Amino acid sequence: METLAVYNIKGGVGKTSTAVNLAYLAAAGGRRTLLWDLDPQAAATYLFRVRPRVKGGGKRIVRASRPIEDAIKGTDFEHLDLLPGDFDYRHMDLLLDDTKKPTRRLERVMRPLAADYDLIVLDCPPSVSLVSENVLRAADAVLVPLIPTTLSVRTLDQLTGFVRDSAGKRVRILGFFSMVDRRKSLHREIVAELPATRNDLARTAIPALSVIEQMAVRRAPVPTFAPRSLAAQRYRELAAEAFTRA
Amino acid sequence: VNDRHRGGDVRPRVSREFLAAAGADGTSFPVAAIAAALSTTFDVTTAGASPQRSTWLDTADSRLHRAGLTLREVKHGSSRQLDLDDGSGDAISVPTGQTAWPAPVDAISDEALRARIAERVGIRALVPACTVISTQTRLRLRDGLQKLVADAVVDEARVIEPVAAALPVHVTITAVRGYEPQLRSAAQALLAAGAAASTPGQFRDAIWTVATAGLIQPPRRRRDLDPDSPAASSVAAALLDHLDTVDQNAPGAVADIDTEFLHDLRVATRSTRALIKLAGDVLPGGIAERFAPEWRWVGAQTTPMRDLDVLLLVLAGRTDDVDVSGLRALGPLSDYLAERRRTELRRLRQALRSHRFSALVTDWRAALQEVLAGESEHGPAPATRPFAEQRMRRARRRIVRRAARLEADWSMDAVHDLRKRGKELRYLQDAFGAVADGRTSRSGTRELKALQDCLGDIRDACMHMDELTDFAGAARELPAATLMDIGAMCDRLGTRRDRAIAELPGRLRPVLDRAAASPARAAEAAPAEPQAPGSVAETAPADADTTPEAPLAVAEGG
Repeated sequence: METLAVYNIKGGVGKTSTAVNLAYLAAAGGRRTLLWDLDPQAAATYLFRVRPRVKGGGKRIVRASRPIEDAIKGTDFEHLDLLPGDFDYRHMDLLLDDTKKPTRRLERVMRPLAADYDLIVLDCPPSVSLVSENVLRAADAVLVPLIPTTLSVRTLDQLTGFVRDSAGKRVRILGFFSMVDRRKSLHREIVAELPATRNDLARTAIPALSVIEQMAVRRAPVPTFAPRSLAAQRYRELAAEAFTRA
Repeated sequence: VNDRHRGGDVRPRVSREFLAAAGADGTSFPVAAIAAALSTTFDVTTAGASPQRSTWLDTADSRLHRAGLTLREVKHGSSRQLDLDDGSGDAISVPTGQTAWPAPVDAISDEALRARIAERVGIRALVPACTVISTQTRLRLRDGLQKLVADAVVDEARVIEPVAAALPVHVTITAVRGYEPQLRSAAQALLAAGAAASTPGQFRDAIWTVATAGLIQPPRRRRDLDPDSPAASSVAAALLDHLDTVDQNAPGAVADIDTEFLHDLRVATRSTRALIKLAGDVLPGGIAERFAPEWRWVGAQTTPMRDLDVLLLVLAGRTDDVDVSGLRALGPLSDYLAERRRTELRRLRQALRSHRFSALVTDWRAALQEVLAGESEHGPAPATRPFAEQRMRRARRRIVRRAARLEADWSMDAVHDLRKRGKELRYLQDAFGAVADGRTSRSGTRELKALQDCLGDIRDACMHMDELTDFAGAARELPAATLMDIGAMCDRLGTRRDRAIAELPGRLRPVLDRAAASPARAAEAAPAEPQAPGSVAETAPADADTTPEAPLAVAEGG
């Protein structure tokens, strides 16, 4: 089982869209995939038309009072399951803090899933917290969506440092540019130049397209309702690059 | 609720099955009706329908079905696949080419599937049991959020061969993980519409019921024997069972579908001859005497072919008789035997298609049925139970006496003779064990079986060695490597024979000890009586095996 976290300290950078589309593409390729929506906003859960509720809430998850497997919901797509988000997850930091080895709790919670899944995709909340530390400990690779701005490289470096300090193991980090607006020259320049100079940046960039925003209306991954769109194509390329490099 | 695992899913998905009776036209409960029933609770969409034609395959004696397996060759358009379902939902599906059934299991190219089937069917061929045409329609059930909560597969099928038959519509509803409670709502909707809850194997069994009519050997019950009825009727009933077996297997032997048809035919023939010999005297009107030579003829006609079958199976490593591993040059011998077999098959076909054989089957059946119906003159008639017990005791004593002789003076003829007497007792036990007193029918069975196995090992090893030597001598221009391998085989058979001969005293002694300890010992020591007047002299050896018994009417007057 491989664990891929989609994470950024900042919000609104396309984490959920990426997590949903990559999880879908992995499942469509035959991998038994679980998407865990760790964000209390439960946007990924909403996109799969699943009620954003986990019986027992974050307490159940953190304390492992019930088998985590029983909280999993099947999606409409073969090989793809979802561990739903819950507004109650907002207290997860406090719950984790109450446990022994608080930075390794989620890694331990996920252990029973190893036999059932080939890939777990973690859709992380935007913060630097105990939850983030847990995610970085549990992940084999971290995919970081970045808005192409002058500060984006700094964000990636900050995150790399944070991962190095908190994960305590070698975690592969791959940044990629997201929400790229081709009308903006700065976006075009950064996307054209930076990936060539850093090996922790993906060659694939995800453009800002309305078809991606339509995911919230259609409540489905892009490749299911716009399989030939540029967005679907780019997500396929990103998936290929991420699964190979990260 | 049945936990069934669907290939590729991460954990078993929960499903429920239903059957909805089809009308005479087979369309009274169509997909639309199922969808309408489910629409009361769910938003239902159709996700496609796929027509298919499947041929159900099994051995002639239903070995796969009895093992809970269903093997089907399924055709969708131009593609063709073999599906093996063990009822757990974890089916194996492999693409396949065009195969002309019946065919041996070797015709299956996929190694894993072939191994899985071979362990159940052994040397039997796969024959088509029935052909089913079906259309599977997939319905998707969504909740108020338009979330998929379950899939329904509606299977509208009908049997077209060997007979046309309508089948109930089969519905399987499988919950999406985490939505198991919705199954209950779906079930309620279907039950309210008139469908009935079903178990996983019920639909398969419904098809199988029709399919069995197409099998060459449909399952049949043996005739019940009544311990108090006249022995003549029971002997006739047992013989009719054997005749049914002969009747059922003759076409398969003629068609040469697999070697078991001839084997089963020969076992039934031997059983018939043993019953004629050991109990035929109870039949009225000299029936046994009249037909005994005819059954001996059947035995003789089938022996050469069977000997070749056995030897070819040995060479192919399909029996436990001898280890042929490492013997790679036996091909020319196998080819030679296969050629000989073709000749013998022609002779066998001639015999089994002959007027003599069909007259035997017809006349023998008529004669036995007459006895069974009580229409022939029975004369003084012993009841089945005491008669059966007496004949079993007599057969057992005969074995004990021969065992004692063999212990004193070993010879291959004596081994063969004792083995044949053992087989006769087994056939008698098989026919009448259910109606005889348990102690009489099973007494010393374990010791006798161990002795029989040992005798069988000696006899088979010797027979194969003789045959191999004969065939090697008769086959001209066998390569030196083949002759060397034949020699190696004979060597291995010889080792096996020698081991069995060494074990023989240890197998004989328990049989003799038990006989010595039994209350009948005194009777055994008594002088032998002459052969019962009604028994069939031509097959019964004229020896002193028959010993005094409580007088039964038949023994006195025939």
